[in-house]
This record gives sequence, C-alpha cells and structure tokens, in this order.
Amino acid sequence: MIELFNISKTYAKSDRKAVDSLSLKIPDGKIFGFLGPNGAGKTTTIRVFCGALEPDSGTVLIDGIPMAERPLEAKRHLGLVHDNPELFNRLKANEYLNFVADVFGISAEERRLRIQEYSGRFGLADVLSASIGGFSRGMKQKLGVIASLIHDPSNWVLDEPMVGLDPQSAFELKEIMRQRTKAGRCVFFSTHVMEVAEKVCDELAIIDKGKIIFTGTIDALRRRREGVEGRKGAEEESLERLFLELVDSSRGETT
Amino acid sequence: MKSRFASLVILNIQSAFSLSLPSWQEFKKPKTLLKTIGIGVGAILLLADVGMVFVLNSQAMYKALKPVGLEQMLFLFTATMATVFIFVLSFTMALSLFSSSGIDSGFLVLPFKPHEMLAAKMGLVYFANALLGIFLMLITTIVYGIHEHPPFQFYLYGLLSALAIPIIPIGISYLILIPLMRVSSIFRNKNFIFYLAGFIGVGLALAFNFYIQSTMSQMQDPGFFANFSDPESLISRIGQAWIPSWLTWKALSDADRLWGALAVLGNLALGVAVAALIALAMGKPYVRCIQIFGETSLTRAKKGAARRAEKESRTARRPLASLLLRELRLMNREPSYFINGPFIVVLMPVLLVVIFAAQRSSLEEVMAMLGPLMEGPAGYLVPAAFGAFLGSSTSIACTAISRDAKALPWIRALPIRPLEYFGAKLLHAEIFTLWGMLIGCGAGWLLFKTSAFDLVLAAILSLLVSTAFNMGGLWLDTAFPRLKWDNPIAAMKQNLNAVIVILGVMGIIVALGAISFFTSLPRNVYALVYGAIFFGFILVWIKVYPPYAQKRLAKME
Repeated sequence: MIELFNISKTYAKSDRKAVDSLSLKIPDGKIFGFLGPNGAGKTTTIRVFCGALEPDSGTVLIDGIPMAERPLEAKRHLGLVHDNPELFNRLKANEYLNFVADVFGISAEERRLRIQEYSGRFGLADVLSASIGGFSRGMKQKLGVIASLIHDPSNWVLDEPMVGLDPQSAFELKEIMRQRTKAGRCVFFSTHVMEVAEKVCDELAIIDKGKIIFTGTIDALRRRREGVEGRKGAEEESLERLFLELVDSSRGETT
Repeated sequence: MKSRFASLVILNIQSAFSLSLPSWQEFKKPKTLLKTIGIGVGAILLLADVGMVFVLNSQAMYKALKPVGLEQMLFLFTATMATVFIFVLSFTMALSLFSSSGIDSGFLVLPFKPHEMLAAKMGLVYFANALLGIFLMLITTIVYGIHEHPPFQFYLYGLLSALAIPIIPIGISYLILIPLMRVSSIFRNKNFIFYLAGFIGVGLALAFNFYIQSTMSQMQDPGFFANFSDPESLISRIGQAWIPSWLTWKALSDADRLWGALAVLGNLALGVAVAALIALAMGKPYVRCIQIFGETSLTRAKKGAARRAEKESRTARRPLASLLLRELRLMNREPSYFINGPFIVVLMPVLLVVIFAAQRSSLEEVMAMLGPLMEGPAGYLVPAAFGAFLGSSTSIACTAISRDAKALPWIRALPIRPLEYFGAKLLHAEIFTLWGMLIGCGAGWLLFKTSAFDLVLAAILSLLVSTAFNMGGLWLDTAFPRLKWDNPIAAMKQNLNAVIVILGVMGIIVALGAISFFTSLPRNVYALVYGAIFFGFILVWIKVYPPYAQKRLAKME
C-alpha cells in the first residue's frame, strides 16, 4: 500500500508548485490508474513517492514505512517502471538486469528464474546478451518492466508503461497487473490512454495542475457528473469524455 | 527569404556549435560573469599560445629565407601547412558528423536536393576550418607585412586565399568518406567513428606536438629553416604541385600586379568549382549513406553469448561491486568518455616520449644537469608529481555525477546507499590513481635511476595527492554537477569541473615544486610535510563529504 499525505513539491527553477498538497491512498489488491493532462504533475508525484525526488513537505508511506526516515527499506517494497527507457544504452540487457538484482540483493537462483519467466513472456529471452543501445523503444520499455519485477515488489509503479508496446506485450503487461492484484499486491500506473485506464483500472485518480481533482471508481466519476450537472445517461459516457469535462470544469473553477 | 541551402547551413552551424552568449540579465549574476570572463581569458590564452608558436616559426623562417631572396616561399609553406592541417581536421570532423546521421535522416523528408544536403554539411565543416585557415594566414601575412610593408591588396588577398584553402581538402574528405561509408558497414558504426576520430585527433596532437617541439629546439639554427623551405624540399615540392597553395603563393607574391588578383580569384573559383562538382557527384551516395547509417541488426543469442548471459545471471554481487562494475562499463564503452578520460593515462606518457624523442639532445643535456638536483628531494618529488598528475587527470571523479545526470531519478528510486554510490565513483577513479603511481615511479626508475627508498616515498605521495584530488573533484561535481546536456561530451570534455581539477593539479604541483626548490629543509621532510597536508585533506573529506553528499543527492533536480 502506498499512502501520500499532503505532498507538495516546487522545482528549484520554477515558481509554480508541480505538486500541491496532494494526498492519496493506493490500496493493495487494486489496479490504480493515475490520469492527468501533460504537465499535470503525474511524473513528479511518482518520483516523489518512489524516493527519486524529495518533497518540500508531506509524508510518504510505503507499506507503512516512511520514505523520509527509512528510504532504503521503503524502496525495497517498490518496483518502478520509468517514463524514459533511454537509459544505459551502453550496457547489455543481462548486465542491466543483474545490476538491479544486485542492488535489491536477489539471490542468483531467484533472479535467474524471474529473468527467465518475464523475458519469455515479453519475447526478450534471446536478446539478453545484446546491447540495450540496439533495442527499439518498446524493447527497452519491456526490459524496464522486467527490471522492475526482478525483486517481486509488493508495490508496482508504472509511469506511462504502454508507450511503445506492441499489442501482445501490452496484453501481457495487463495480465501481469491483474495477476499481481489478485495476489494482493498494489499496482499503480499513470497513463494518457483512456481506453486502457477504462478497461484495466479498479480505481483512479485524476490530477491537474498538481492537485487531485478526483479519486474513486469510474462509476463514481459518472455518478458525480450526473449529480453535479443533473444529466441523465452519463453512465453511457466514455472515460475520455468524463475526463475532459472534469479537467475543463476544474480549470473553470480555478480561473 | 533565405535559400533552402543557406537555411540548412545556418541550422547545421547553430546545432553543431550551439553558439549563444548569456543575456544581459544573466551577466548580472556574478557566477555567469565570472564563468564567461574565465572562458574568454582561457580562449585568448590558448589562441595566443598557439599563435605565438606560429609567429616565432614564421619569423625564423623569414629571417632564414630573406638573405637568399626566397622570403616569399613563406606563403607557399604556410598555405601547404594550412592545407595539411585543415585536411586532417576536416576529415576527422566530417567523419564525426556521420555519427549524427540519425538526426540528418529527419531532413530526408523535407524538399532538399541530395547535393544541397551534402553541400550544407560541407558548409558546416568549412565554417570551422576557414577560421583556422584565416588564423594561420593572418600570422604569416602580418609577420611578412611588418618586414616588407606590402600594399593593402596583399592583406585582402591573404584573407581571400585563406578562405579558398579549406574548400578542396573538405571536398576530398567527403570524396573519401562517402564511398567508405557505402561499402563498409564498420564505418557506419557510431562507436567505430568515435574511436577512429578520437585516435586521429590524438595522432594529430602528437604529430603537432612533435613538430612544435622539434621546431622549438632548432629555432636558433638558421640553417634548419633554410633547409625546411628550400625550393627542392618535400614541402616545397608538394606546395608547388598543389594548385591552391601555388595560387596562394603567386597571389601574395604579386599582390601589386594584375596577376596577383587573377591568382586569388582563380583560387576561389577553383575551390568553388571542385566543391560544387563533388556535391553534385556525391549528393545521392551521401543521402544513401544517411539512410543506411546506423542500421542495427539486433544480435539474437548465439550459444557463447547465451552462456555468458546465463553465467552473468548466476553471479550475485554486493551493491558496491555492482555499482563499480556499472561505472567501468558505462565509462569505457562510451568512446567520448573513454578517450577524454581513462585514455589520458595512456596518452600522457606517449606524449612525453614524443617530446623526449623530438628534443632528445637538449633534454639529455638538461637531464645531465638535473643529476645533482635529483640527489635532493627532487629524487622522489619528480616521480611523485608525475604519478599524481596522471592519477588525477582522468576526469573520472570530477565528472562522476554529471555523467549520471540522466540516470539520477532512476538511481535514486533504487535502494542504493548514497555512500556506496559515491564510493563506487571514487573507487573507479582510484584504479587510475594506482596506474598513475606505477607509471610515475616507473618513469623515475627508468630516467633517473631513483632509489628504492625514494620510489616508496614517491608512490605514497603520488597516491595521497591523486586521492586527495579525486576526492576534491568528486566533491566539486557533487556540489556543481552539470545535469542538463544532450551530448555525453558535454558531461565530460566540456565540463568546467574537469578543467578546474586538471588546472588545479597542475597549479598545486608547480607551486609545491617551486616551494621545494626555493627552500632548504632536510631531504625527507618535504615528503612528511606534503604527505601530511594531503592526508589531512583526505581525513577532512572522509568526515565532511559523506553526509554532505547524501543530502546533496536528495536535492538534485
């Protein structure tokens, strides 16, 4: 479980809060979607609760472990797929995976089995000895997914994971998400693709200008629109439309 | 409206050199102002230093040739030398530019004709090399002008000839490179290009150094330049056979006649015609090179490779060992890091061998004179200084964080102890500290027959100084890392921290050398005092740096 309490973050070279008093509880056993327009603060939020960025204020708890006080322990409970897979092009795929396994202290046998399993599922088994520089974007993304699962984390965080994935791999990824939540793990992912969020998410949060403007299920979002605007038939509307209306009305309120 | 060709040339120049000055607002910040002044002063010193060598060279040659009435051979010599320099530099630059073919392929969808694309690239190479041509010709014309007071046209023709000289060498570079790129897949490999360009650059630096050193050592001998510029000498014969050099010679020798004007116009026309022909003939093959450049065929696992991958996944390492291995792999597999970093330790001894070979006779005299001096503390201080310089000049520690800029969010999200992260960086640099110490002591033993006791002192001092500088460099790059860059060269070669550390090492070594020379303490007390100073710094670093680095890492954005 991931819990964020009143998180704020302003970058040193900016006078605008990238994340503003954000609180969020991401429960175990659910696929939690994180939606928002470009520049809304999704990646900043993810980086803050994964320990890659220090918040100006607020508390992050990973499975009840405070990130600020016990960062190493908290990070061991997290697996993160970054938004940018263009890292370490000079390393070979197996060197990269083994580095991550070493850092998480995974035994040789355990890592061998996991690499075998996930590289098989994502079709990377026979390119593990190749240099990452020769991989396509999608292959790098899949490698990042495998690296994030090598220590079997209780909280799996994915920042825009579907970008560049072929349909087969996207299907595998969604399958793994479902398997993990069935096993009581927490899955959190950010996306721009509304269809994916609509089909996969059990719950979602929508962020705009660093603030959470909605948290709950898609049905709750539909009901809310019905309630606010007194409209009938909102249950028929797509998440995309609901999302756009919500962001528009949120911006209208702030201006 | 600019033509398509002109727009592309300007875009190429802007993107290759990122020419931009800070705004007036930015100049108000003391840091920006100081940095700009520092870079400006450094550039002027560098130009003055190189220029001085050529001024002395031209002056000595003029004095040697004047008595026999051949002073105008100076133009032939300068034009030929500039052509050779420019050819090597433009060949290297053109080769390096092929590595950005991925970006250039974006232009293939725009309405450019193949010859426009090639000519625009040649325009970029020309921009850089014309400046060198002007610099060299300017020196010769000024030196000659001071003595002979030629008419105004002389300087104008000198400038126009300087503009003409680079054109054909650049065209020839592409004439060689394009077929090579087409037929050989190895030339289409980015790494190969980086290494080849790097080694050509190093070779050129060594050759230039040899030339300067041997010229300097014989500067007092008038016969040397007379032989060098003799009409029958090799360089004169090459010069007379190479039409642009010959035309430059004629243009400047007959600047006050019509023949001079015709020669300079002919030189420009010849250059433009040859370049245009090459662009027209090689345009299509060039575009094809861009299309096929960097075509990567992913290597599926072969038996051996698969076994190695399997073995790798059967080896669990401690995080520190894994971080160190990652450091070594990332540094040594990135050509721009390797050539400007660890390779220095190989290059510097080679450079010294070149200097020794070029100035052997005068250096042997100096070394004989140094004999008594080496009986004193210099016996261990000289090898220690050499080892310390080598060990601290790899720029590994002082660019450690900058090189990792793009990976920092990823690193910080992993359960890595900051101490292990920075420790791996320092350990990486310390490998070369050991290597530098071995070379320094080895050189002392070979050149000065340093005693075993002095070698031990030299080894300890060398290790202490290098370690202190590596620690200081790491501290500097932790405090002021270069976190925004598009090209890895910016993190390493264009990193101010690397310049500060290398100049700092040189400054401290020179300062300590001067102190040792002008004071007269008992022989081994210097080792004790200097050792204590650097050991003291190391202790302070161990106490202060780790908590600082931990906090700083968390704050980096």
